[in-house]
Amino acid sequence: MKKLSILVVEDDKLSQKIILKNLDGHKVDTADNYSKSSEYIKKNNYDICFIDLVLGKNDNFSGLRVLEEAKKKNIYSVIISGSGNDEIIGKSYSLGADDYYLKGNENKVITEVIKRFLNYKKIETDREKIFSEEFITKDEETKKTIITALKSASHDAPIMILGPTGTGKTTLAKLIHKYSHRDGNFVDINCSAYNEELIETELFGYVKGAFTGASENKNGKLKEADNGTLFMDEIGTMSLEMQKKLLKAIEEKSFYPVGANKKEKSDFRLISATLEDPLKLIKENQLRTDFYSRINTITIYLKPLRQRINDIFALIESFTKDKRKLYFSKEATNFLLTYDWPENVRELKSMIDYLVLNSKGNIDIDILKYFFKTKQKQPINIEDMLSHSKEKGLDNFLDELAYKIMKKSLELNENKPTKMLKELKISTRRYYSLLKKFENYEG
Amino acid sequence: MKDSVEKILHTIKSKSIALKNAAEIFKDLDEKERKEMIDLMKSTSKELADLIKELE
Repeated sequence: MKKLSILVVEDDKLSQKIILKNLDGHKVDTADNYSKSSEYIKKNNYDICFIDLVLGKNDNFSGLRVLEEAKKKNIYSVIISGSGNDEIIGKSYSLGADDYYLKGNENKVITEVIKRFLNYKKIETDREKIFSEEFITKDEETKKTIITALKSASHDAPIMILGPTGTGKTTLAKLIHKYSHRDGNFVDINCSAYNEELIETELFGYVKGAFTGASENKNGKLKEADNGTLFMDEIGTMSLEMQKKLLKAIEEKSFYPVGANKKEKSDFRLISATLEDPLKLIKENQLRTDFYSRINTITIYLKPLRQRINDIFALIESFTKDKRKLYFSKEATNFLLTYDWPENVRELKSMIDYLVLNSKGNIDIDILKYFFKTKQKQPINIEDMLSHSKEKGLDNFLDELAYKIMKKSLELNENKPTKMLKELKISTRRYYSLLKKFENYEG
Repeated sequence: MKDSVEKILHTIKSKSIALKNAAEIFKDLDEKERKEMIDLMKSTSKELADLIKELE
């Protein structure tokens, strides 16, 4: 680990000793009053400053003055105080404190602070690379949003990402995982792709014999994300009962796999996403209030592409990085900048892929219009299908798709299987095999 | 008066926490560090006793 330069401002010798013990390997100065601290801050360039607020028997929070001096030099400043007074905590943050801890857990807190500080530093160093390669944007507001999200990456608090489809919610979730320094995997699941039973086995796993076809134990996504990140997209599509089960698993960091009588443990960090307004979902009784309160400690909103038009050509440049370059006529450029982009970055990417393959490089308005006209005729986005197939395996994905189509057809045919079978031109055998797979049908 | 009692209570709390933290890491210290820590724990305990007397 990089050797950091640290100032510890603490009047109590025993507390000072304990903090120093936790800072072994770093260059540390100590000060026990305001004037000595101020002198040290002026003379040195510290990375971090740990500050106790009351310095001396009759002192009146002179640590706050130390904090001001430290922030003038842009030092990462952490208050470790015996005072839990709200007014003092608020004042410390308004003076620029980066963290505020109550005394009592120094042995744990100091390690956490160092980790967070190094994360902040890394984000600052990587800033340019992040916005030019990992989450491409030139929009200042979006950059600020991403930096805020990444700065909270090292906390364990659940994050909720809101924003329309295709705005980069999964990309951001992966980026948060990268900067979280969690050793485990990044595991993602799109809740809308599963029915009630399937999502339970997908999330919690199952034990051998839990149901027909469960020939061996299988870990669920929660277990796969142990020490890592679980990203749940379209969380509002989960049933209220599943939300309740998941809430319990989040709070207890343990759960029962389907059919098991022994709990499994998993320390995962939850990032959830939805393209709908969560408050509307609550109002419509599709989202539990207690579940929502637990999963949205930090909320991030990603703007649609039409509200960050400066990103359009930055994204095009990135999508064509190792491919043939495209030239857009003035009319085509105007079209791109004024188009609504209902599917956002995903739609732009799909357009560029099409143009790279199907144009001569000179893009005029006619080829754009032709692309959007033909696109409307495509029932499902091939990119989405590829991503689902990668996640579940092509056969499973196609079975699931067939099952959904079959259910829809049944619904439209007054639940009469004979009509559905005729309409979809599928065999009775296929029908029962899908029922067996997705509904444990034993007929 | 109320303000000075609060200051004393604040210091008592801080020093008690320091003693608790010291006890938590004591096992992990080497012999030399333990001696230093014991001396600091003793002086902190004495300071605590003096502060408690001030409350009387």
